[in-house]
Amino acid sequence: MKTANRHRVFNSVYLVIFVAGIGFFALSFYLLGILPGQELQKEIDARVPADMADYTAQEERGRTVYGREGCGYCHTQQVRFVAEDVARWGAPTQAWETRFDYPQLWGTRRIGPDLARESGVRSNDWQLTHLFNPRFVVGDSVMPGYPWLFDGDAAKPTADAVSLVAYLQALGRPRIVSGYHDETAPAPSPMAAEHADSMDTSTLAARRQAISAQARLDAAVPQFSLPDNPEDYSVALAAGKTAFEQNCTACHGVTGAGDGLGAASLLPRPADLRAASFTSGRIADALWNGRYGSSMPAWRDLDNSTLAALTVYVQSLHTSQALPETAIGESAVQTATLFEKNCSSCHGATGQGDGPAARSLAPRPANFQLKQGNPDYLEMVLRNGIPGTAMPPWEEVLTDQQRHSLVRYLRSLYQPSAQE
Amino acid sequence: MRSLDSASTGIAQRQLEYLPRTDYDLIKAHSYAAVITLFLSAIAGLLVALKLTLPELLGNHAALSWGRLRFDHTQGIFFGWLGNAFFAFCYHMVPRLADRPVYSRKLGWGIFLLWNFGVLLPGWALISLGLDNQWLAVQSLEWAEFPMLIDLFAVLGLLLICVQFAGPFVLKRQSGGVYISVWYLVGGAVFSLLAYPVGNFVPAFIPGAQGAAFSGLWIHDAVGLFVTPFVLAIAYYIIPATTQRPIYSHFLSMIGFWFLFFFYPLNGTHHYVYSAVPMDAQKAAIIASVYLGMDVILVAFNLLMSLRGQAAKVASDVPLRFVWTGIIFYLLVSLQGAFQALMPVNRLTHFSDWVIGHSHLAMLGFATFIAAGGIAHAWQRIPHARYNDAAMNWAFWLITVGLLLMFVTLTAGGLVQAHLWASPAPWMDSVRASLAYWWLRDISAVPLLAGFVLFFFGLITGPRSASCNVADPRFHSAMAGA
Repeated sequence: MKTANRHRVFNSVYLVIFVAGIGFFALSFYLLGILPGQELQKEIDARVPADMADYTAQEERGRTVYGREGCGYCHTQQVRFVAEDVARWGAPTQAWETRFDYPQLWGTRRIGPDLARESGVRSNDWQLTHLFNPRFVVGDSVMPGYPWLFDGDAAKPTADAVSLVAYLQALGRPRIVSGYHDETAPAPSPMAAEHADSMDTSTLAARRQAISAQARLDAAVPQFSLPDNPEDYSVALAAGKTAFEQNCTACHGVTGAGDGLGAASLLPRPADLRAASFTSGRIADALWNGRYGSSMPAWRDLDNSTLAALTVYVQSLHTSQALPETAIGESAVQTATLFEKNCSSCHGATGQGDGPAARSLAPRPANFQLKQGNPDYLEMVLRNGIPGTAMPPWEEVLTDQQRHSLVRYLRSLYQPSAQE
Repeated sequence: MRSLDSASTGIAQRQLEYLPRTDYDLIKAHSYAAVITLFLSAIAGLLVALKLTLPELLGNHAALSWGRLRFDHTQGIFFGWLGNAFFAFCYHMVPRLADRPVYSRKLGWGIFLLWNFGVLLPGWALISLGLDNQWLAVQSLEWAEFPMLIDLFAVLGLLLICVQFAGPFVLKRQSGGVYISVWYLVGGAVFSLLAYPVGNFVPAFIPGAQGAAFSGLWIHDAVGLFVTPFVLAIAYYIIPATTQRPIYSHFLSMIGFWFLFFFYPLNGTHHYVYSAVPMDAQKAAIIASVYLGMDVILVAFNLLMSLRGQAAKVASDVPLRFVWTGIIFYLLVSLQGAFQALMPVNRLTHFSDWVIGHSHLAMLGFATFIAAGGIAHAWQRIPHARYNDAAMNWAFWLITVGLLLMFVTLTAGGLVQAHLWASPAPWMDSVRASLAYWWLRDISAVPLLAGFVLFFFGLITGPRSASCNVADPRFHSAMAGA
């Protein structure tokens, strides 16, 4: 019996339990769990900004909602150290950026885009409308809506929805405020250096510019080659129509009237593209940089020929309207004074939207040299202002006649290029 | 091939009365639970797939949203279908291999209730409710979605599984060692008991990249050290039991076992290639993945060689055909896994539907086929149980067709997505391009669901088994020389 008992120790079942079951488990736990963890801790300690802020209670709450609804199963939060990821979303995700993520939400599948650099890319209104029903702002989206985070309407979010958006706007923020963030030259990490061969930096820089979707102020806009003969023009118009239907109608509506599905819950409202003529430069700027402070995102991920086609198409949407034949109330000089007194602090002395106050306003005041509103549209704006922007209503301040005269004056500021 | 010892030449025909007690009611209970959950989980999977093509479908209910249903789908397959199927087969296999009953009948019913009514159903309920309490909230971690409270019950369940199925082999001295199925069974049960908390608890307390390293381990351990060992135990059991011949080589099966248990746990980090996890860990995992692929060639070779000259048997015996097909899928999916772990391939295919195709080839192809074969095999040997061979045969073909359609469309769609992502095309182009493939994937649900239903019919219709003295192998003798 004793012998048998002693043999039992060496019975192969014990070998399996202790070596395969427990031993190899411990080995993997140490080699691929603890050891990398220690290395990561060193890297985090070395690279983390001293004042890196934890999530706020609201953001943490949003993070819980994000996890609960399974957002991480279609959206990664992990920009890999490869050129194509960096080109699309920016700098690769570093370990220190994730130090407050309990648990990690890296994800392993992308149906929608990565969200690690989502901070500030889109407006809160856009995010909320998108959460209520993604197809209100992205027509072809297959993302589910989350109507139970709202009180029946995209404009009435619950605390959960607001928290979730706060969390989305926090993604990537530590890097933005860290000083590491550099638009043109991402700080090389130890790992990026190791894989320098896989990061073709020259093409990277070019595409980085083209794809990252952050709305920006006043960044240089590339010169789109617009059609200069009727044949090219009709081709561009057709291409622009297709692109408009795919990307723009959700907010701007089928006719461009700014009455798409998403319009109701976006402030400021999407522009009525029929009610003003824009110079091609103005449209190109809106497409390339987005309209900072509004829900208009940047469209740099579309290629330049599509953007040029969109420019042509949007210009074609304008329905011109003759100035009504009203008696001129104020003299030209009086109107100019009126403008200088009431408008120029924001819109600038020459109406370029560059007044002293303009810098601190988002969206920026209109540049009347690049945008010529229809008389009815301008009258409406002067009466009611533009909700969601710094433009106040002037109904109480200016008389009807003064406003009529101002409309005339504003329209006269428009300076389209020769071919337009 | 090394000739096996003389005892193995007559894998003994044992009459039932000589068998240790077999708990047929537990086999039945776990089998029913398994097949019903398989169907429910597949419905959840179908809805998830449909929602990609019809995003407004059932869109107003949190419990029926894409994210929640995806949790239901994978956790249902893991616990409900595969867990129950494995346990059902263990109640058939363990008494025959250990030459004594499982640890305890009462414990058996306790495990059944705990697993289905303490883990699976409350887990699904909590996912649907979406509570906020940290212990009751859904965890957004792959293969670990059930709330942490449920995880406690799951760990208890795994502990009891060790007692119930490994216990008999520890308690009764096994002269001359134990058969390879037992190694896989015991090793897998013990490993899972330890690995489960790593994926389910550690990331909640260790943040970000450091937690992800542990998540990666569990993502792979769930498949590699819970599913795979049980499935291989079934395959190694059914082949000799059906063909009445010993397996090709005990030596190869030992080598296969030890390499698998050594390399599989080291694979995990290959889910985070090009991530912030230290590159040494990533590379180690990739190398281990390649070694694992080679090991699977060895295992599959051994299993398939055990079936050499048995084509007629494989064709006529539906459970064995399920197993054979599962082995083929095992070989394919493992070689694919090793391939896609390589950095250049991973760089392209990671995050795309290619990976979803891979995981379905593993869980639906490899694991489900062999588990289904296991249930059918055990069921045929339950006294007076009904068994409908024609329905089983149809189930086999329907599931095969459905799986292949799903695998091909997901793989092709994944490559389209991957190449669009590597181009400067806007993101939405990849979504629009995927729709055609997603529709085809939706269609693959028709044969799959029909197959699952027919599989169930195979268990509840047809003639009752006439007698109980079904031929039964004894493995101890075949093991003696190993």
